[in-house]
Amino acid sequence: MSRPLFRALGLAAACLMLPVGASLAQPAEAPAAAASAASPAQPAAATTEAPAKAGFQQVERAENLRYRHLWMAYAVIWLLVFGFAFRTWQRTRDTGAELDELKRRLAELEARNG
Amino acid sequence: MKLFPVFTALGAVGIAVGHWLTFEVAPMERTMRAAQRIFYFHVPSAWLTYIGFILCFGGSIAYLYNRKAKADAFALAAAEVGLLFGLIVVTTGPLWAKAAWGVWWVWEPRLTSMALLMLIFAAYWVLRTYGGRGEGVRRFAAVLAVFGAPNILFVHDAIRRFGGAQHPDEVVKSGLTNDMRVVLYPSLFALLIVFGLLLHLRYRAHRDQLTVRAIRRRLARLGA
Repeated sequence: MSRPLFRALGLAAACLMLPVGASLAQPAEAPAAAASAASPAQPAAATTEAPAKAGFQQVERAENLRYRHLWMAYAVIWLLVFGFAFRTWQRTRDTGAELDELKRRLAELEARNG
Repeated sequence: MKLFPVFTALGAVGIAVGHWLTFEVAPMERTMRAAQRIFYFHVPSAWLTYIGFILCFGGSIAYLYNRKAKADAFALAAAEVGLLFGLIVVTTGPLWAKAAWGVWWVWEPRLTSMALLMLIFAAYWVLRTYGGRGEGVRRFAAVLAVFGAPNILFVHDAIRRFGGAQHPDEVVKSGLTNDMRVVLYPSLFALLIVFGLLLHLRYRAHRDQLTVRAIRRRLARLGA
């Protein structure tokens, strides 16, 4: 029964990596830059600045740190949840095997005793 | 039983949507910037910790009242899942705090009372896991849960009652924009489904353990 859970959680993990990766890949000031580029008030400035902004731009360290903490927090959440689910699955599997074995022994014993 | 795969699929989709909303749709907060996005899973995890411990409280009361092993198994499963979400809260909280306040931990009322609540239920779990399977241990653990769970009221009300400038408590009640609510509630819903699935699996594992012990006793009586 727990197998569908793990399949679905695996699928969810793969899906959630896409927006996380896309978000982390974005430079921190991208929305502001996009907004200023789209602003009709300074069209000339936006077009002249565009080539310069296309190159590498350093983000301040504090901003970088905030992204790193965000990434770490979500990694911790899913490591804990998947770890817990995995341990539960292992335990259910072991108990199920033990239960089957005990039921078999009980049936044999009851059949022998009549 | 057929509901399980349905809820599993629903939970998986909910989590994927919750992450998409958190990382793509949620607005950037002005002062905390990216680190504020921890909020969308940190706060629902805190609420689910409360729910886990309240369910443990209910199961413990039921066990003390009727001595049914199933009630005890349910209380233990709820405490374990509650502790899992509590662990998420106390690990993501400092990561957020370091990015937002510049420190990992502050001894303010909300954080301190949450740490105490976690310690009480960690003690409950250690007792149940390593204290043996006797009736006395179960009863003692149930009493611990009954006396420990009301601490939730202190955690929840800590900022209003005792102050605490750092923790953004009132934000959840009034300071959230609609864009933020649209992200928070689907995340809560997705995590609630995950919580329910894990609780179900854990409870089933404990119930199977009870069955194993019952069959072992029966085999022993039959002389196997």
